[in-house]
Amino acid sequence: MGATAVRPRVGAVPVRARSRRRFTPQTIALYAIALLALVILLGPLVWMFGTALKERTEVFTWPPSVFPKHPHWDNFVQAWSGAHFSRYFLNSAIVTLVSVGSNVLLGSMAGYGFARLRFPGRNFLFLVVMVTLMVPNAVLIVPLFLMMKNVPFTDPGGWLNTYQGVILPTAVTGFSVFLMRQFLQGIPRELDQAAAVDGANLFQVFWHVILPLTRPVLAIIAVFTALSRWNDYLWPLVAIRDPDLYTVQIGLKYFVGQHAIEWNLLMAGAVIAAVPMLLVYVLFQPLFEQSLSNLGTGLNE
Amino acid sequence: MVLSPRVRRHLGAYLFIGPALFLLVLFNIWPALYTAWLSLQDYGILGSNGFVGLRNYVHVIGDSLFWHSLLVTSVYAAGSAALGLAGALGLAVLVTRKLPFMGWFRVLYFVPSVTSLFVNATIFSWLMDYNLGLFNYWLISLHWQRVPWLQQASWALFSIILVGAWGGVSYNLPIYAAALGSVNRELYEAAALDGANGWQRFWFITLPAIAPITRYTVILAIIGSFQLIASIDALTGGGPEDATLVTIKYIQTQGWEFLHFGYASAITLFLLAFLLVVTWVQLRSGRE
Repeated sequence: MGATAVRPRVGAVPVRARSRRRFTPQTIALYAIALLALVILLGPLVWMFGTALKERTEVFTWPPSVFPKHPHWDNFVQAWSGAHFSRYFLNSAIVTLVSVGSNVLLGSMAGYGFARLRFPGRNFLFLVVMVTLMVPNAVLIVPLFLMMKNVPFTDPGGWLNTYQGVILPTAVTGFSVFLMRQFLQGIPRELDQAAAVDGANLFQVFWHVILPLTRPVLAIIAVFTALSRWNDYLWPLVAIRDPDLYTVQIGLKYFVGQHAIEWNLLMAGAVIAAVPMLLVYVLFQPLFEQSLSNLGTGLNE
Repeated sequence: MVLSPRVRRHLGAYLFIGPALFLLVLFNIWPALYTAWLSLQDYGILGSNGFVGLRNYVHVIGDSLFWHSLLVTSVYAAGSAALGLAGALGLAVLVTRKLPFMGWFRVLYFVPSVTSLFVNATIFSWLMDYNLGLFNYWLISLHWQRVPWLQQASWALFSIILVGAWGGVSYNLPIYAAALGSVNRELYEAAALDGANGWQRFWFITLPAIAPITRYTVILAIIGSFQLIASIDALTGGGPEDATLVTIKYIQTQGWEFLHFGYASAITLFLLAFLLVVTWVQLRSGRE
């Protein structure tokens, strides 16, 4: 009798029942798992920062500590100027920024064309764009290398070891075109048709109406292009031999070869390579969330 | 020259799609066809030494190292995809619970996906270092022996799979979290009324409901695995004793070390064919 009186009646006090449930062993276990996963997923990155701040002798001390007592910022100076990461950083920035610009511009132009304009062969040409999405990059390195090496009317070596050689193969991706087209198809045509009736030509409509309307998708194209170009490894590796043109990833690779034992400097280099995209993530996190979840729900439907 | 308005409109449209289409065809479609042409030649660094017909293909079929590399790649793909996707799904179930701070966990879990594969693998090469690495420090603290994570053939592939799974969990988690959010709530309520417990609901409602997304993430993980070279370079370089020699690394070695570009092209086409078959099987199995 007493027991039934204490037990909360179903539906009568749902709020209290729910708030009390938060502190059940089950909830505590869930948070424990969440924290463990956090340590596993972020621990290595924290360890990178910690090692990058250690003095050379501190790297070898047992037991190891995550962060040193006195952060040794000099490692970054050494990696930045001593190991030429400043130069690699500049190269990566050039490659990334140009690729972002060309993907946003050329991708949005083509996406607009496929979504809004009528012309013979439209479906077939869009199929061509879709096929490029399915070609794995790995398949392309041998032929691309030989194409860049044998560009007509150039010196021996062609466009290997040049910025254009690194940038051009991904100056526009099928992904950028595809995203822009999908987005525009979700926007009512009336918005841009009204401007066209007013006598604006195609380019004016594109520039003054379409681009402002599609800002969210342009941002997604920019962020994902930046991420894939900054973090690109395979193509810059084969396209570049000249150390003055290494991107940060390639610089880091050859740094490993030279300084395998100096873990603190190597980790300082890794931090330099990682920080720009970490900043992009901090600044544009809602965009990531939005586009990845669109992918998740879109594919499920 | 006078152009009709219709033709002018079409020309305008071609100006919009032209630049992108030109670059895509030149740097995606054409190289794929060029690979096929290269694979029929004895092609060195100075150019073609002549047409050799199907000789490169015959050599690939008889090249035990190629088949070994395909096996290594497949084991890596299966292992890292299974661990990575299972982990991502498990964590997605966790972070989509209506509990405080789960949103924060979700945001933080994605961080390893924005740092590059090469940076991540470099960090793991430090963690897995035989003498000074943190992993072996822990093992010794527990009075176990050091593990030759990357130095011994029997361990190296396993270690690479762990690193791949680690990245896979982070990358696939938001995709699964979104997919879980789109599952019809009423199904769960109906099942709860029928007395289904949490596991049963997960097994009989959630998993079938997100099957399309799983098919997609599996294909994406496999395609990613077959292009994996950054973490191989940072961790093992394909060794020890070719234990982690993935096919793309073998292609790079044949091309850029031995300068056998024709042969590297033939291997590339075998890899592509293999990948297409795997994807096709995966898509077909989903339909049934």
